[in-house]
Amino acid sequence: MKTLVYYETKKIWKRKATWIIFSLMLLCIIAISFVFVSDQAYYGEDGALLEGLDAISEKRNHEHALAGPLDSQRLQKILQDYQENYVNQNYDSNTDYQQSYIKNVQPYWKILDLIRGVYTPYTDYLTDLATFPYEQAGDFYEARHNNVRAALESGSYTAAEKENILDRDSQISIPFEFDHTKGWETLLIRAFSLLFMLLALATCIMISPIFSYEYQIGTDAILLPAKQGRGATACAKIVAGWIVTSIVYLITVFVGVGVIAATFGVRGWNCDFQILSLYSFYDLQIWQVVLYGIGINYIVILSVMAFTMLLSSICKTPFTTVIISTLCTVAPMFFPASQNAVINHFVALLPAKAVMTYSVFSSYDVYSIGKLVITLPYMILLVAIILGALELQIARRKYCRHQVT
Amino acid sequence: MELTFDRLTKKFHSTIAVDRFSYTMSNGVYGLLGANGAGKTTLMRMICTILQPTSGEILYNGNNIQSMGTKYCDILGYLPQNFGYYPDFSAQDFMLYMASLKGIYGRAALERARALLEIVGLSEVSGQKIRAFSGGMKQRLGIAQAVLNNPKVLVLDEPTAGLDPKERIRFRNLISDLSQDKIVILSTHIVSDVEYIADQILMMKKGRLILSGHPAELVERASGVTWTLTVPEQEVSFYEKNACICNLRHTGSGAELRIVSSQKPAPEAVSVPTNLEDLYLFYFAEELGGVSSHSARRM
Ligand SMILES: Nc1ncnc2c1ncn2[C@@H]1O[C@H](COP(=O)(O)OP(=O)(O)O)[C@@H](O)[C@H]1O
Ligand SMILES: [Mg+2]
Repeated sequence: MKTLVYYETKKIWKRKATWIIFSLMLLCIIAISFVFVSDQAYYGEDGALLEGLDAISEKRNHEHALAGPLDSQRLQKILQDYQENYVNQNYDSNTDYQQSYIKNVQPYWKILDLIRGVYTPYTDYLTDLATFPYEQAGDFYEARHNNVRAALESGSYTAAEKENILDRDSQISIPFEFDHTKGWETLLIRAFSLLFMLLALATCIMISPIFSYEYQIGTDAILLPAKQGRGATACAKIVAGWIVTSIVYLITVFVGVGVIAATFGVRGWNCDFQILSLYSFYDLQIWQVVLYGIGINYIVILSVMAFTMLLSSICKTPFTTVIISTLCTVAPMFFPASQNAVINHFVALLPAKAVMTYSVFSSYDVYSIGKLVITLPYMILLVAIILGALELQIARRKYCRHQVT
Repeated sequence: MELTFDRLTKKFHSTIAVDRFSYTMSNGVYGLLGANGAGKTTLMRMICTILQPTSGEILYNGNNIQSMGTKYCDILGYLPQNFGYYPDFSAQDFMLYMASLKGIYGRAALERARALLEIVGLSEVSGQKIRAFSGGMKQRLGIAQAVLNNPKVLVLDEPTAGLDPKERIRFRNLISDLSQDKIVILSTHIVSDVEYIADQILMMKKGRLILSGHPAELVERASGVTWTLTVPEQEVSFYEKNACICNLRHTGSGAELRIVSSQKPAPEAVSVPTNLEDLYLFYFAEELGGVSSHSARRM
């Protein structure tokens, strides 16, 4: 068996497509990190617009100075300061106005945005917050929890589901711990989706030939009659696919997280996830969400591998396999949210959506099986494991019973 | 040791590739002769369990080969037609891989692979990628992998395809050497490949077994169907249209024709001993684009 796995792994590694997609993927990640960095803009104290790494470090210093727990009084005070020191001032010139923004708003922007999310959640900008009576803003956490309740009331949830979500939401740790979190935000919101879609794509491309290449070049005729050519070879192929997928996964994730950490820094790793996603009802810190994401996405990518293997065992050529598996894997990314809750619940479990860790841990999708209420991350794991195992089983049988014609 | 075919049939939609094939084989070399499309490959795939028969069965020592599972795989060696290989593997890699597929590992595998590469004359290029091999080299590698597990049933589908005349002769000797205590089944549409090494010739036509026997016996049985005839040059085209000519030689006085026909093609024709090639032509004349050998006769 070990020898067979060695040869099957070798077959995958020796293929040019494997290397091309792997190097392209790493290049892509490094290239996109440049974009993420150069996107950053922040005003320096002298009013000059900083960009790239300078902007990142200036912002980090400013926000880090505000690090600490965000209790309700502090939040109220920040809102009051914002209104008094910035909104309700008369400015002689544009320069004064800008100076005031740089001093009174820019460092607080992230926190102000959290306050906006609770008190004026229906707008995207701080405009309405400017006139919101700060005297009424002393109950940040209660107001937030009430918003959750209201949202659940207007959604289509069963009583058990509502209770489950509200229960989880009341258990999140408060007050939120604040720090500079731009790096993690970039990683979770921007980099992760790209990283894992690339990985899914690479998995499709690397795994597609696993069975169908043998059919295509006619080696099925010498494999299948051999003693170890059916069951043992099918298992060896699955193990080899798993090894290659895992290695590529590990390296890619390591490089992806590494590049972001190296450019943005790791500050804010122990902040509450709610700093990034205000209404998330999971009691997790950012580093936990990142780790869970990497773990869940590993299983999801393995299920993509299993699906590709299934197709490969059925299709006659790697080309048809890769086309179908890529379409099925990537296309759902472009599915718009549907009006139909059932469809949404289903789409959320597809790999293209399931690897979006930030959305997954922000989502209010929960699944009821009998009396049991299952949250989205668990449901994703459950479905990926069950479907993946099933797909591998079918792929094995399909290959073993393959007819050479 | 016995391999029995019992009304073995394979249909592809409407075409019948193998039609109620019944036969029993024991040790020896069996030459499967037939035109392209006769059903040789389909038959061999069923022998190798990579194609399920539509009906009928194959028995090895009385056991259905499908139900024997890996026990049957253990005694089977197969060189498929259009032998598929991994272009990036070296000959040695490929042999070692095939050895592990056949359950031979470690030193034993290495020694066996080396010995066989030596026998088929590939030991000097064993480190080269198969991609760079000529057709003949690939074919020899294919034969080497087929016998790795010292099979009791060796199935070779058009093993001489792509070999040059020298390689063909060498191959024949190789088969003779390898064929002890084995059932060797090899298919070809080239008569001379099997004429001297086959113990039994099986002739297939449109999926059916139409003739079987020892080459000499077959030739014996078919005596009196081969004729020579010398005709003036201007009559050659008439015979080309109306008779099955297996050889034509221009001489000073006209053309000397070798004709296969169940009836005397002309009063002055002389009966000569039949050889296997004549016999093959006798049966496959139509498929080769000629005239039926059964009717050609000038009145
Ligand atoms: N996969 C297939 N689908 C349909 N017809 C097939 C298939 N394979 C073989 N045949 C048909 O079966 C017949 C026998 O083919 P084959 O066994 O390849 O003959 P041979 O090897 O003697 O040249 C041919 O008529 C061929 O067209
Ligand atoms: Mg054939």
